[in-house]
Amino acid sequence: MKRRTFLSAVGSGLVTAAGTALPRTALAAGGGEPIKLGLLFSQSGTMANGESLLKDTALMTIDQINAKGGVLGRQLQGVVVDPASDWPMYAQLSKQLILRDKCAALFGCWTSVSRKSVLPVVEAQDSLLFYPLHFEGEEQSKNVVYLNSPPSSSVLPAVDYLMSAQGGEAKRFYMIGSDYVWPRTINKMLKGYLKTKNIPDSAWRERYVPFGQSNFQTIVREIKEFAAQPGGQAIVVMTVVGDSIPAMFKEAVNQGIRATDIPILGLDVVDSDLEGLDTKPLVGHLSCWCYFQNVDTPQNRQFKSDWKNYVSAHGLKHRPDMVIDPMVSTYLGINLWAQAVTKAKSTGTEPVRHALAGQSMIDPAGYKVSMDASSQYLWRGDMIGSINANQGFDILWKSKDIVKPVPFSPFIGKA
Amino acid sequence: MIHPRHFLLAIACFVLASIGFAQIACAATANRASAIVSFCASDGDKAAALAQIVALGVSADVPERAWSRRMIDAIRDGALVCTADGHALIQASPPLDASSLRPLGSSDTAASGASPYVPSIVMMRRLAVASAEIDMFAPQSETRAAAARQVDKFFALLDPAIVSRAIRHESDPQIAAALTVAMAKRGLTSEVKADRLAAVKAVAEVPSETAHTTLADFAAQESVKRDPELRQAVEHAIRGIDTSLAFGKAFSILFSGLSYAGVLLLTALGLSIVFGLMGVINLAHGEFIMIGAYSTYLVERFMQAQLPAFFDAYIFVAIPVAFVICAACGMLLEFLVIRFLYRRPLETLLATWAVSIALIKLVQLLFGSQNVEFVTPGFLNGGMQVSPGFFVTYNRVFAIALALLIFLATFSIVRFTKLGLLMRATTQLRDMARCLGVAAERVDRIAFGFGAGLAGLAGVVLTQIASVNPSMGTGFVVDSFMVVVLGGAGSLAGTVVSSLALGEINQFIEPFYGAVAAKVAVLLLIVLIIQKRPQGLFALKTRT
Repeated sequence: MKRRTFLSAVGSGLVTAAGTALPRTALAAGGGEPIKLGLLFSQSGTMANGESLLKDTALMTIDQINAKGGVLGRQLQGVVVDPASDWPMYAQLSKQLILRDKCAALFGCWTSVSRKSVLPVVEAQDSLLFYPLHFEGEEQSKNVVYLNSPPSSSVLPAVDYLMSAQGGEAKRFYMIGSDYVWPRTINKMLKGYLKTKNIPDSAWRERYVPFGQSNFQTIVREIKEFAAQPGGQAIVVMTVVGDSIPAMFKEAVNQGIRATDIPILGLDVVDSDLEGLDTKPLVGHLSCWCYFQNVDTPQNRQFKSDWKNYVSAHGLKHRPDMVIDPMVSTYLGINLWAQAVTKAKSTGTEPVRHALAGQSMIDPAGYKVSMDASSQYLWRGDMIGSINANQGFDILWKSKDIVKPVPFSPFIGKA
Repeated sequence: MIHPRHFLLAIACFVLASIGFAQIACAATANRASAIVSFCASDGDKAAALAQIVALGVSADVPERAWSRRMIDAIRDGALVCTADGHALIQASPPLDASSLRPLGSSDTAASGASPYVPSIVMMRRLAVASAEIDMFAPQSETRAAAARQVDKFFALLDPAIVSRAIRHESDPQIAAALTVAMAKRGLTSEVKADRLAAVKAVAEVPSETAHTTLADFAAQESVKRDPELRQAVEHAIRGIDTSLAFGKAFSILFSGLSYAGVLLLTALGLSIVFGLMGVINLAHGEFIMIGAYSTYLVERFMQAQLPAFFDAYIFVAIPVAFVICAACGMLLEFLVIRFLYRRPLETLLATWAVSIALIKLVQLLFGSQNVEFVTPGFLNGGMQVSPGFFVTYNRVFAIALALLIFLATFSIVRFTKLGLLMRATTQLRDMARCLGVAAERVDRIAFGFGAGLAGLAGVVLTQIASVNPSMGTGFVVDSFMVVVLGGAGSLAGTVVSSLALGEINQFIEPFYGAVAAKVAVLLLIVLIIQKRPQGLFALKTRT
């Protein structure tokens, strides 16, 4: 008897726990059935920090489009699932979103490994995945829309900058990454690129740490040692992700590394990673994205105030005054999808894909972004940001115009 | 067209100058304005403009020095805004005019839509040098000492004239000595042999990787190779540096291992009571660590709002708070779930797993899924160069010390108190203990609460080392089980030995083969040991 009451108690606990993970539907009144969009973002696990922001940005964008009357006279509805930072789960849930929930398109994934996990599903079901992160490139699927830049238009310009006289003439490179496909490909490409710049193999070092690593003592000590060796100014190209970013920064600061000694180019660092940190000793470390929230354009002011209002109106736990590039990418993705659907007068994958080519809109970053007709990559502007004392980035450099995305790097084979 | 403000200034200067006053002040204002104009020129040489500002900063004039320092800070902080009319302002509340440092009216600020200047890495290096150069003339000796350390770091970029002037002005012999050493290092490039020998000696005095590189570069020069005396001196110096660096490296590896072991010990200690002594497979152990970390967060927030004067002490206040909160949670869990499941490991495993997921989701609902922000207490920031090549960070030292203290306290409680005796009796031979009148159920509850409280303490320490978010515990629970199983269930000493061994082995492998290989090696090692000794390293002899 006692045992049964206990089991039912545990059972009901489980149901409540699972309840938060079940699809939350945002039904709204409109003509006909709502069009469903699958939102594949983790709200738990090591990626929860970033991906939960994207989920709420997507819901906000959907609300905005609905407020303007929806698409094709129908309302949009976001179907939220939680893959819990578990890569195979992304594949499973994307299948569920396409087959059971009949979603017209999917928006989601942060890490490349999660995208690679969803890829066979969207290809088999011929659906569309809109992917909002900058990544390693080397991929082109007619079922994925790449909303952010491949390394040719983000990482290489930043490295070029650091190698220039203005950027401190970097001559030696310490690459530290989390151990998975994105950092490994980026570093492979970087090594190929450095070879074309006549940098000898002895001038770089490559290290990987397990996913979620938080102990960077040995790495930082090695960085100091590496930087002190002869051969010129050293920089760190950091491709660790998730919780490892603040851990790495903390250790670097504690061991006395400043941007003036050894600049760290953190390729996956966004404002939200700086949230828990005192950034005064971090001032000057760099990152490169297509958007930084300090960019001063009317569209950006609008986007930021929309986000602020959305966060307070829905009582969300996010910081209301923080917008990061992948959020803007998600916003652009949903809007571009809506434009394409309107043009195609259909939500079918094939007509939407055709209509997407050449779609353009004004990015909050101030550029007029445009969808490449052949590669399904988005042409965007490029920026280098420098960490400031207020847990944000100042814009150090930005491209004059949108940059052509090159999905397959010519430098990969050279390494 | 002359700007009216300039015009008035000129008239004022003229009038005052005719009285013979304030000539210097007016000249200074002109200097300031010209430095600002050249800094703000879009195609101007910013380095030259900075030199102009520094020249004012090292002058004898006190207000000019203060202005120069303020400007350097403003540029570094990205607060300097160049406006269209050749002026500049410093962003603050209220905004200041960059030249006079007087607050500006709102109309002046509104007119400038320009964004602030963002310094590049090269500029930041120059700014660091500039502030060091200015600080060498500061009245406070601490500021001068800090500047001298900076001078040593950037010695290649410094203006030697300014440093030699600072040495002449310096009253504190220690600071003067530090500056002299820094200057001596420049002697490597000198033509005079005595200077070069002195420089080699000065560089070798503070062994470091950088010193090693400097000397190796120096030894490679043709002129040095030709001179036997110089060559011998350099080679001797390099050998000396190599020896001390080798020691430093060995110490570093030991220390990293120790600090990793400290974290393992902290997280495993609670589990060694709950799993080791009581035999409960508690998969929610990591969540108690997480609750401990969030309790610390609440304490930190409370102290920041209510007792800002004692803010740095929050970490110590959090220790009892986290212990009590986690112990209470643990006792509640024992009362609601665990006590029905003793001796049924499979069900315990499933139930505690469910509890772990429920706790993660609950904290996510209450606090959100993002990392929570901790302000590190001042005394835990940074670190110390113990010896050449051996740098310790205070947060790691703190973790090791606290791990040791908590272990000693736990050990004494289990070993020497009545509660510990009852705990051991109950877990070793439950029926006999009950026959002798021990309230076994109560002891179980207290022991479980004690274990949970210890996990909470681990959470307190981890706030200074790892990121704090609802799912932080999942990573630690695996490591904790590894430590307890390897050490031998029920043996506290085993827990210490196994965490030390795992920590040191891991950190010994990492520098050579990387963190991934270290993890693989440690896991394989555990598999091997468990195969040979399923009971763990230190088996407890019981009669069950």
